[in-house]
Amino acid sequence: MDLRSVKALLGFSAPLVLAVLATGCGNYTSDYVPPRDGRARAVWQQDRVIASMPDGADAECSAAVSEVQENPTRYRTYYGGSPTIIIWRPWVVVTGRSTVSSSAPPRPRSPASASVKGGGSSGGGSVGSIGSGSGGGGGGGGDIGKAAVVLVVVAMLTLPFITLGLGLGRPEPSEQVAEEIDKVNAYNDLARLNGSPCAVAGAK
Amino acid sequence: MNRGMMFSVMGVAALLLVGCGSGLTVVEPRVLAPHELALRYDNEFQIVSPEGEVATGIRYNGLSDYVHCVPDAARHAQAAESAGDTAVGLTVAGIGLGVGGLAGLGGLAYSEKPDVMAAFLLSGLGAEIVGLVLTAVGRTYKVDANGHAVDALNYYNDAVGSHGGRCGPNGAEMPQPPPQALPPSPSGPIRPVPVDQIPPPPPVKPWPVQTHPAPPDRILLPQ
Repeated sequence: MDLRSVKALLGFSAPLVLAVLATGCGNYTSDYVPPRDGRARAVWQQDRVIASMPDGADAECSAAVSEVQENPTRYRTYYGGSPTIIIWRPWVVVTGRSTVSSSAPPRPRSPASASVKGGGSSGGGSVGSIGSGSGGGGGGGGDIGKAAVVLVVVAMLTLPFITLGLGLGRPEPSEQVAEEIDKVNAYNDLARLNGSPCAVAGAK
Repeated sequence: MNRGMMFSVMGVAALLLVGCGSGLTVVEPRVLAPHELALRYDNEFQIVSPEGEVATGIRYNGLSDYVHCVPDAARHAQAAESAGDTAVGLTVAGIGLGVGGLAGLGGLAYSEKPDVMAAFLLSGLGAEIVGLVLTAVGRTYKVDANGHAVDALNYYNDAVGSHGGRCGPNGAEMPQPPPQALPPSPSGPIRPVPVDQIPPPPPVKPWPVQTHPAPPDRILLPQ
């Protein structure tokens, strides 16, 4: 490889840097503001989902939500829930085929906090840079040429792995996202089950 | 040194592959309004309703149809579907180029012809870099798709889903309020009314007696 090839090699590093930057920048910014109606929501922030919990959730409710996450079915059925889906209506609760209707007055709701907790910075991959040598002869051999070939070969062997990692990997932190969604679902379920620590006052 | 650098770069690649780990929601949403949407995660975002699965990432096909009656939700759902499709296309093209660029290593067979070798190697490297760029851009579209889908879910639930409504063919269909309670009916059995308690009919007015002679049946006109 001659000096021109080395310069061309360096020219290729520009889009490589762009690719690395693209993984960490330009993430979607949500414009959604959760209303204060006492319901928990999963809200998008940067590259992940975070739980926006109402202000009314006290310590007992938070403990119950955590307990639901540890043992979902058993704990929820303790409060009158069901392993199957309960159709919830604002004025009537229907469980399976047996209809147990109870006219519920409008539920006084505590406002939800517009602020969301959690969050973090997105990570980006780092890729080794290709160094350049100074000077060098115009011939086809020499140490610089051999080093450039080695660099190119190493880059060619590693870039597909990085590409596969970016393409097949998930951009969101999976475990944290799952935990946040569990928190939201657990709270909303408990808030609608009469007698649970998270049941809003007046909910039937 | 070269070997150490190679291993370090491969280590970064391995971290990118497995660094995100695995995630699975364990709390299944159970108490839902009839058409309310809920979010699940099983190494991909899943949007479900009591009727079943509505859409899954990364393409979110069907989400815009489900939430079409809420303008904000429909806008975000369409953006999610579009970004998802773009992400899939870019990722597939990027991986194809990235892996296909390995063919450039065939240039090593032309060690006696440096120009040919350089052409092979640089072509392969270029293809891999283009593939990496496409994949990286596709990754940002994945984030966009997920974010738009979550927003669409929230807007739909706030306007319709959590209130028991749904999007019908003619727009939002909200549930009817519970029927008003009827006034209480009089207690006790219904008894027959005795006949003698029926009031007598009003007196019949006599027909008037005719006092004048009746008019002739025929009138003979003079000829």
